[in-house]
Amino acid sequence: MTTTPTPGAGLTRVPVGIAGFDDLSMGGLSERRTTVVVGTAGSGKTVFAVQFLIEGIRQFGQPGVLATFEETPQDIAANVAGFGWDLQALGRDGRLAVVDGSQAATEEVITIGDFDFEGLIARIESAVRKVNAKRVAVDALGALLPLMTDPTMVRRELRRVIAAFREMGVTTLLTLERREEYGPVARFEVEDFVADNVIVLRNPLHGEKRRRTIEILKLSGCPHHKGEYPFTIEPRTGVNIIPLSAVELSKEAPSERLTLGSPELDAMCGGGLHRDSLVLVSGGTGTGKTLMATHFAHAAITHGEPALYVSLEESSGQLIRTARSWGMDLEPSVGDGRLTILAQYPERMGLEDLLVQLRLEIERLRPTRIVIDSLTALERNATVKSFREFVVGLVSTLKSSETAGMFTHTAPVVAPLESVTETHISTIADAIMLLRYVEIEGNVRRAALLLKMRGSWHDTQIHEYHIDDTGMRMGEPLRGMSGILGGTQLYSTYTGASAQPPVPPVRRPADPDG
Amino acid sequence: MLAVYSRHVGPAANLGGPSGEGAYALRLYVSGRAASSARAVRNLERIAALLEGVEIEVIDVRERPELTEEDKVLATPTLIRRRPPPIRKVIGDLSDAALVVTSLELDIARSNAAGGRPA
Repeated sequence: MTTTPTPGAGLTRVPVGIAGFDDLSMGGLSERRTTVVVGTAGSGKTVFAVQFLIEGIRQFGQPGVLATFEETPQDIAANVAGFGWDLQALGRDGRLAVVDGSQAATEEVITIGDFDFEGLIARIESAVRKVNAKRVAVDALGALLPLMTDPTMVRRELRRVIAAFREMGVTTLLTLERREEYGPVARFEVEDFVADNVIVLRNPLHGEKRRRTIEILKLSGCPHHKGEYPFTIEPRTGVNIIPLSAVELSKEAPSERLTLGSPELDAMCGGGLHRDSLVLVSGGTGTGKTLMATHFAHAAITHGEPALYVSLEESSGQLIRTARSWGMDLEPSVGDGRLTILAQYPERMGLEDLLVQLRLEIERLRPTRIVIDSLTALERNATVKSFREFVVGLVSTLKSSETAGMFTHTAPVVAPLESVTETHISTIADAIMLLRYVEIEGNVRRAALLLKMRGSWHDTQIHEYHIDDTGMRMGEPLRGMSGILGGTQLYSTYTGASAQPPVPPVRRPADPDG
Repeated sequence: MLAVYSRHVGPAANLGGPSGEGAYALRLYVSGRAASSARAVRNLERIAALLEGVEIEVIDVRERPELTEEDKVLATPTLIRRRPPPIRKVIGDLSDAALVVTSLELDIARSNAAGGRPA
């Protein structure tokens, strides 16, 4: 084996099996090499390291060795039991061996003269032989560092340990603690020079919420995605990395159309939605966004297809009651599992966690349609960046699973279109439906406009619509009017109006008489 | 020479104990390929010469990993005083003999004063 920095060519990669990591790293870790994982306390290093072993055992049949220097093996086993990982059982099956170095963190040891860590290496090597391990996770090696007097020794001993792992032929993850989220990679500032592979886990505060990120700093010169990527630690699956760069938005649109649940609406869309479309419904309070979303979900279940309704503002009981008042009975479909209503309080959950949960549900239920009602509820509790990442991440999942989506958005009273574009959704959405109150001859009425529809002819007229006990009924185009897109600014005129819409839409409505 | 397991060194080995055991039982973990380990063996031999009734084992971590595991040894050389209790540990090449004696509370008072405390 060469010890010079390698250009990465010819190195075999080992798929890790942690969700998203193999995409992020473009193939996994370098085989038979050591990768250093640095992060502050609580950044998820231990979970990451243990999961590296667990996925190796579960997905690739590769036994592993866990060496721990801060927490006792018992503590680690207890901490990861919540993920469904039973370290003791794996130990009994001979698929996992543990080297306990945890006394290093507590024991007072007097140092007299020079020493090395051959004892540790011998123990790990013996454990590797015992279970025929292919993967080794070394957690919190930093607990040994106080024993060492100077950076030269740290560097020498880290090199020794890493060289020994290479000789053993194992792929190794080695975690080291750092004190700050940003800045020097690790305490002695030599650790990153020693390893060819460095991953940084961070857990910084953003708007009173922690937001975990992972960054691959280097990978033996192999190509990998660069920059920080959000991840979550999820109760059932452990580390889940959200691969933003992997988002592939230019998927070929299937030609099959989906009904929106109303013939008039379908007609406005030129015959219905594309199969993996994302529709944004934007409107003020009470304009019928939830109604439109209910029609959308109901249309799936009347065709015998599964649908997922994520209700962030109403409980599922409320939703079912309101739907009944619109003439749609959701209860039987909830009963037989065609419709899944996921009622969540977004305040309780970070967006990354919600995204992971939605991905799991989508995988489990394979819905043809999903409703998020409403995005506004999510936006309230998130930074712009994490909100956008959530939307992009969810849309990428929907596209790859060919699931149609309808997201609702509560437009503020003033300048509704600005708000839509602010959240960057209008560029991602395939279709945008605006629902507005309009004042006509002193009466408040409702009007809808299909502002945009990608890849299809669509109706560009503003239609009045009614809400009754059969739901939403699309009416005739409102002719001879203008200026009604300004939301509740109630700007109305008669035929021959001179006023322009106060906020120009992406595409202006066609001349009503044209 | 270092790949020695359970080697008794020093003139006073196995002497003086009531049941034929030494008053002190010391175990030195070494790594066969390291210079610091070789120095530790030489230094320990010198210290043991000053003690009465001492039993010394020199163990190579690569030959006896199970013992290494049992004693939770991380560093080599590691010197463990196994008897009398409680167990005490020092790591390093033992180059400061006086510090070894103090750290492990080895009683060399009855040794020949001319031998003195090792410098």
